[in-house]
Amino acid sequence: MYNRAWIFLVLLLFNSVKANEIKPTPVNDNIVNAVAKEIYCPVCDNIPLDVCDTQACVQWREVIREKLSLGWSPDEIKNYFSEQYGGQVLSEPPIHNGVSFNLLIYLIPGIVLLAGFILVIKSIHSGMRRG
Amino acid sequence: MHTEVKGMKKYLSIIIFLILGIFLFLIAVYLFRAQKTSGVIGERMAPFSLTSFTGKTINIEDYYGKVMVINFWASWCVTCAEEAEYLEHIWQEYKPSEKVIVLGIDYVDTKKEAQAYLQKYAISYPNGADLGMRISNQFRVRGVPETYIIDKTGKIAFIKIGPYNTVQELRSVIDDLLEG
Amino acid sequence: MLANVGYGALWITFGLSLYSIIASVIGMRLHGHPAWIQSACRSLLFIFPTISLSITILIILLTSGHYEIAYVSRVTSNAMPLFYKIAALWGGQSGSILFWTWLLSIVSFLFFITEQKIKDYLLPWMMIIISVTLVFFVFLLLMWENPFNKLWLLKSGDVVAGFLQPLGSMLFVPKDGNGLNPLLRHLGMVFHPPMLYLGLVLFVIPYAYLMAALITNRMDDGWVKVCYHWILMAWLFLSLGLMLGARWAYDVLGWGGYWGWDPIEIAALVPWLSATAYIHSSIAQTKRGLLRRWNILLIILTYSFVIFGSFLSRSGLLTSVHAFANSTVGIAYFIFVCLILFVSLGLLISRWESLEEKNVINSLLSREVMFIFANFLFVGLIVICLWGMLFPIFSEIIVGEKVTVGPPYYEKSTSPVFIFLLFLMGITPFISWKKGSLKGIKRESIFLFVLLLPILVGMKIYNIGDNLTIIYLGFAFFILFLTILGIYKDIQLVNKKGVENSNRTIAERIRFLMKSSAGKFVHIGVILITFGIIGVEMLQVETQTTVTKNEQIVIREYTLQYLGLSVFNTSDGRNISRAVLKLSSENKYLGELYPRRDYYYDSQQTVTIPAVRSTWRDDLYIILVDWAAFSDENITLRVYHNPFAMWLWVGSIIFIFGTLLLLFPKREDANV
Repeated sequence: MYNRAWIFLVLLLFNSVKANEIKPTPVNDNIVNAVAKEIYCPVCDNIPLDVCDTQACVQWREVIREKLSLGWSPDEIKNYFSEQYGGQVLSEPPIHNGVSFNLLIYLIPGIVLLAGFILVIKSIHSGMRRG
Repeated sequence: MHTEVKGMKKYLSIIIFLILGIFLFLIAVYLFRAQKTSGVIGERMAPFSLTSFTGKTINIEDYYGKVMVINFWASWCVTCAEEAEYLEHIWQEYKPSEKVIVLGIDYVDTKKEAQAYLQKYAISYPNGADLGMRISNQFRVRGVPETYIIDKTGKIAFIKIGPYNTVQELRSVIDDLLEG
Repeated sequence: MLANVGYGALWITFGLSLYSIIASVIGMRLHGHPAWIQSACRSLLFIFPTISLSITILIILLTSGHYEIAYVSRVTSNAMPLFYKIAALWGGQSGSILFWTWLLSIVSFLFFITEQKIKDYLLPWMMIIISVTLVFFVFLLLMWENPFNKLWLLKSGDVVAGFLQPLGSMLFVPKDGNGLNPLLRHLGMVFHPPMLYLGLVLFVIPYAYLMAALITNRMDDGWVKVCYHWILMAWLFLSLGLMLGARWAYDVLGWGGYWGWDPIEIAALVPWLSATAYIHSSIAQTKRGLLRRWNILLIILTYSFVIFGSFLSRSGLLTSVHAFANSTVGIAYFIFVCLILFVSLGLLISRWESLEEKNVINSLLSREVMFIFANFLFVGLIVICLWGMLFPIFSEIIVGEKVTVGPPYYEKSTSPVFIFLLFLMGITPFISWKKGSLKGIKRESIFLFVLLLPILVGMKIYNIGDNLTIIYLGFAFFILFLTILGIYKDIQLVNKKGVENSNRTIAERIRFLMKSSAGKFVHIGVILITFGIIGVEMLQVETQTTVTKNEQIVIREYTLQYLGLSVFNTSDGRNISRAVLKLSSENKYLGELYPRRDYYYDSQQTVTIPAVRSTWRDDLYIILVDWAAFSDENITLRVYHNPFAMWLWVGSIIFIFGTLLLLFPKREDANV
């Protein structure tokens, strides 16, 4: 979902934290939710962390809040979760440095669609030759 | 020309059936694996390691030959609390014999709450977090609590899904395995 | 006991279906011996009353609290109101399979009663195919998912479910049941599954008809008309089912979301996509004799997707909020899927040569080429969806890595395809068959652009959103104008024809117009839905805060003031915590909103029900956040502002209206 407003707010937050002093800053719910939205609950079925209501999810949101207040970036937090609980907590298959099986997630449909397109053009041409 | 086209069509249909077959085969494999419930009795336990909450590295291979009680738990799991004291009791009972080890594996949890849980139930046997859920996937853990008891030959001898209702239940299994 | 009769009725159904297959085969062997064929047909028709008996008994058991029946215990409870107890029929795996089978029997009953002119060489094969399907589903019920299983208390103290009484046990009769999952206790549960299932089940008719034609190798184009009509009907109910699901999700389940790209939602979307492709390409076949083999393939694929989707949602293969519990039916389903795919495709390939295509295309700029491209795009969507659904399975098997394929993948990959489809949807009506030209609408399109400009400027001035959103909205407006222009041209044509045949009354002209523009009405529905999607996906704003009594939340131009919490019990077993919020906009009072949290005593589960205020311009959607402590003094609320959300539902209604126009009355000589 396109929530540029919230990405903007998160950036604003980190601009206000000076580089060499990491003071815990109060992090409001919306900023937590913006990160939680992109992480899935490891034990529920396909529910992102911002709407999950189990005890475990409440704890994980607090972890996100804690890490945010320490100055972690959303990407660092997502990496942390994926290390702790496995890659399936991310909403997209992660592309580990360089070549990875997960590249196929976009590659295969791309190739199939391209091949299909060529097939369609070919059959239109042969139809036109008959016409 | 006609036979050429016919040959091409045959070639194409073979490819399509092959790809379809591969996809269906993969789904079938997944289906069969999904049918298997958590762990299988008699299965040889594969080696794994984890870092305990105290910072120590635990290699399960070091404990081969002992009866291992491997318990998956989580701080947010209400029924895990029910059996926590039984497991600790067993640990205290069998620790001097040095033939049994109880190992707790924290399933999908947060460090802070996990340590609070361990403190609350005064648990002294080694516990560690399952990084990346690797160990849980290895045992095909579906939820908590689940307990896997490994015999002296390193095979899964007993699986308990859900909390133990009595200490005796645990004790009788361990005693059997110690004898055999 | 009643349950035994219900179970017995299932066995009778099984027997009747088997007999129907055998009698049809014998009838064909004896070269169309009418007595055997008639007997098979009668047997098939008789299945409807026997399954109806079974399902009626189950409904009686559900509504009268017979908790010794395992299924009744699982899905009903004393506190549930009557209509939810009936809806609980499809609330669990076994009941929903019985419901599905019952719908199958209705559909086949209606088909054989109404379609009098089925060729006698097709009839036996159609009966065989439908009977095989029935045999499969009833077999599932009998073997693994018996809705009439009872609860038995063993000597050991355990309670097991089964039909026959285990030794030394006695019947276990709980005083109350678990009750339906509170999330399902919503009006949506009453309508969404039946509509969806009906749509999916209806696809069996065109499939069976087509298969019969393929097997008997009588591929004259008689099948096209029958299949088109039945696929359109199936498509109507499937569309309705999907839209009801979206509305239900928006109302209660989805935190302001109407579509989550959940694998099982996608499993219902895929047959819809292939059916939509078929509806369009079959018009090309009727008009220009093209795409014959392709259409046959589409029907086979659509039905395969239906069974495959059913397999995915019932086998526990996919993680989803929709999934039924893990079940042993998976393997049987898988074998059935493989059977259908290999037999149908094999048959198509073996008949390939005899399905000679008179494929003649005269110009690249022609309606048939546009339809071909549209089909390509629909198939593209299907590929994207299937791949996304199955990728986690492949990843886990091949590299042992568990991954989630979530909305970002689907949104990124399907958006460009949808945009191209919308574009084709807008311009195709202006490109004629055989050889089209855009010269005709050059003047009008300039006029449309001129109309579009002030709208774009207006959106920019009122700061509706960022530039990308404005471009998307402008594009949607452009397609809308094109479609309305198309309808206008249809009106002109009807009037011209009406003047030519001066005996055409106004009523007749309107009827003619409705028929020829029905498709465009559906397209208008699509565009309105698109507006809703753009609004909610690109312009949504959300905020979550904890407020104290009388404190205010500000979102966009709205102000919400928390006035307090009231807590009370209801007669149907709920404890309700209801927040009172005062809504105003720029100091003008707009009303009160009541987000609430329902706690169900029987199942000890909670549901949060949002408060929604809908206008043409936007929706305000407020949820009580119940994992944070709340009281009269303090409450945590999440508020969503969803621009244009209502257009999702308005568009859906117009969509369904247009589809009804396409179906009834039967077309005479309407142009397409």
